[in-house]
Amino acid sequence: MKPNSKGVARVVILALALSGLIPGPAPGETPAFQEYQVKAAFLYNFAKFVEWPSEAFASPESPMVLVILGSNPFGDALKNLRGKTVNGRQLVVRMAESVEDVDPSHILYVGESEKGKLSHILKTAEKRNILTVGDSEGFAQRGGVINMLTEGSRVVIEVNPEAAQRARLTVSSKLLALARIVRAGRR
Amino acid sequence: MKTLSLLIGGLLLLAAPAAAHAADVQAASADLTEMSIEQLASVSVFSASRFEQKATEAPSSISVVTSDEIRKYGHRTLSDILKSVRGFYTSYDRNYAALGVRGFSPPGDLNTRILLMVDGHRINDGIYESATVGTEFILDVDLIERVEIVRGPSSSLYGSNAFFGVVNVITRQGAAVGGAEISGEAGSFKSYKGRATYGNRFANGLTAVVSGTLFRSGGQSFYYPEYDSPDTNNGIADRKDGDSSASFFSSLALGGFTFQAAGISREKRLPTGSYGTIFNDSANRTVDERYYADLKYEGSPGADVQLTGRLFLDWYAYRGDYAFQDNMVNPVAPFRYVNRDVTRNAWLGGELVAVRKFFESHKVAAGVEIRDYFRQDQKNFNDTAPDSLLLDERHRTSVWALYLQDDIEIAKGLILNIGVRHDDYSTFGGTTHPRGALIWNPRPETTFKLLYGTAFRAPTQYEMFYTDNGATQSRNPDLKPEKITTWEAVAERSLGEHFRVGVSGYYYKITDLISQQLDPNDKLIYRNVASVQARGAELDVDGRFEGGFAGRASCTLQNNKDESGHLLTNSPRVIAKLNLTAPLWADRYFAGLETQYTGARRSLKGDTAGGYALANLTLTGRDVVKGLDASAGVYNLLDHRYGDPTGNKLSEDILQQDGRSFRAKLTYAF
Repeated sequence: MKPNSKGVARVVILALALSGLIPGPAPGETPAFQEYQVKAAFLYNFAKFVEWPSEAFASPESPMVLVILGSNPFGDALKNLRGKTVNGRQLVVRMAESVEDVDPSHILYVGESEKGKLSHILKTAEKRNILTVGDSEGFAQRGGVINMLTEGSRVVIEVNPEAAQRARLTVSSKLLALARIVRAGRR
Repeated sequence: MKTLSLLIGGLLLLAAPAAAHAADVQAASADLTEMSIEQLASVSVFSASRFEQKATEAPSSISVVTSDEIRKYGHRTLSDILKSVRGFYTSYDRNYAALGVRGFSPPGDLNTRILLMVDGHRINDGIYESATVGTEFILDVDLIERVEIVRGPSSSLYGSNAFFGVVNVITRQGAAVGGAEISGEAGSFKSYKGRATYGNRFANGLTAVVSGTLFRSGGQSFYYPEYDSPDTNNGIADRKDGDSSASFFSSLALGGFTFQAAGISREKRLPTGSYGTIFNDSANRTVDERYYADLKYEGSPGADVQLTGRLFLDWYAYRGDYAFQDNMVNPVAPFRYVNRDVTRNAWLGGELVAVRKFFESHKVAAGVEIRDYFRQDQKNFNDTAPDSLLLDERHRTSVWALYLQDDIEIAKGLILNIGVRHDDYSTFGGTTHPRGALIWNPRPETTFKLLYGTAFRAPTQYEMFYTDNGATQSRNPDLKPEKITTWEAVAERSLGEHFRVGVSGYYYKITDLISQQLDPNDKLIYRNVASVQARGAELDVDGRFEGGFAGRASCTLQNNKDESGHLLTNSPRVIAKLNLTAPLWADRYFAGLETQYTGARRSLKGDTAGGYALANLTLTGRDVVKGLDASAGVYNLLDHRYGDPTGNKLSEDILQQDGRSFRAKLTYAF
């Protein structure tokens, strides 16, 4: 069986030429969904399906601020959120080391590294109408508003509606329908 | 049968396998932030499932279309979806939609060389073995999560029909539906569709989806110049194009088990006077019914082993009513009668696949599959004498198969994938098909693939046994399987942050092609006559930008010749596609534009169906009012006139296709 050697050669040459171009980082390239790419996309969706009290924003033009507290497991995945808008507000992503420097903030991702300080962080965030998001076992039970758990090959969302209410946040029914509802104290 | 159970037992013991089903591959380069939250909840996470393959590592050239794209481009049928994909083209004879890929779509073809699956369940039936992609497709497109299109032969995994490619339709999960949904749409030619769906994940872990759809299209009236005479209503097929269907889908998943049941019944009236029937007669129609139940188990009995088992029961029935005029008995007073085809087909089967991973770099998959087509009945009779059958073929056939695939990283970034499958048919015996691929990732953003493949297609019951007592078609029980050998080279690469580029070149050689011929008495007959050489090159570019701009463009050049060096019929030399979406407002309103160019195609009678460019424009809005999604689409925006070459069954050599048409759609979720 003789392949079309001429055609194949042409393609291979073209391909080699392409591959010779500057190697760039290739986000968006990673074809199987990496866990934290999915979770980053969820963060963006939470912004869409949660309503904040009006005083949470200084003005109608104020951006929506997402703060990553502690270690950042998202890596490049946060790049995909750059330039996004949520309900007409620009989405801004910042990093912070301590809960004291998170102001202003609307969404606070609390990484594993903050486990020891969790109750202090959650209490502080609640007072400032901040949506707290975590991805560790028991996060929502301990008073976090939204938790992202990996079960099997899917990301499962937990929502603690009481915690949302305390922070005066309204979680849309669409998100609630998708989520597992968690009450505090059941550990 | 005894050896088979031994084999199955042996397999279980080995606990090997794998499913490196190329089709289970995840979507490449999808921008997750563009997905809906429901879609996100149902995507597979790579880090969690070690057996899934990246699209770039799959031994094929793959495209994925997501539900988001289906929505934004306003696709109404699976045929619309596939038409938007690199290298695919379709033709429609106002009865069934036919699919062309790699330049191959003989007029009158029944889509037997594409394997169509829903969540891995084989849809091709056991009489005609058609991949049903038009309104006869079993699933409402609104229930599609994504469509994975694998080009090239995959008989080494899937057996017959996986000749030019495999289309696997993945359905939406219960959690992704997340409540109730009702949807209604209205379109040109008095077309209406309504759907009600409920889906959810419950606290006990049960995931359920239940959905029902009703569709009805009044259709158009046509003028066919071939019939322009006072005897045949001056060539006007007056409201004979109706299309209606009812379908349901249900899926229940708990633990590792998934149970699915689905079905459709569709009736299509025929305006074309096919098979020499009385033109413009109201009786001319076909009714297709397809049902299945499928129980699947997926589990990991060991840390590095994944097991998938499946049991299924399938049903397919077809009825064709064709009105004829008899001038023979009494030429002075011809009389009208209806000739009826009745087909009944039932089968059950099972499949077991195990994937075992050895270290990070070696993966072995082994599987066994069996299908018992316990009812394969084809009948034909005239309503004037229903008891005198013109055709009464009843058969029972079976096939079992064993397959093995090995995926090994032989050096850093270099993967060798080899697979082989043996199929054993109760009709013609055994056939073995290997496949091999070398995949090289010199850098994370660059992939090269060298692919060698073989595949077969078993002759169908229809091709072997159908005859209407010699009126239009003769039988040929001696048909052998047709075979294909392919070579392909693929290069894929990301360019910067926003683009992905792929090129491929291929050479296909088909032998013993089963082809519909005219015998000396002018009757249709299937014979293993033709051989075809196909060569071509494809280029595609995918781009995604911040703010929701996205697009893909592709160009396919192909040259398919038969043994005497003639260009094949219905085989365009050039196909080009451009799909673009742009955000209009507030992250919720989008415009989707698709343009498709299909080059000139030769018809059966030696004419040329001219090349044509189509543009379709769709505007979509999400949460227009809380929970309400809306969309409006214009198809064939510029009202371009074009036609598709047709098969022997029609007198129209080139059949005119739809002009500009519209559709509006509302979907409410609560």
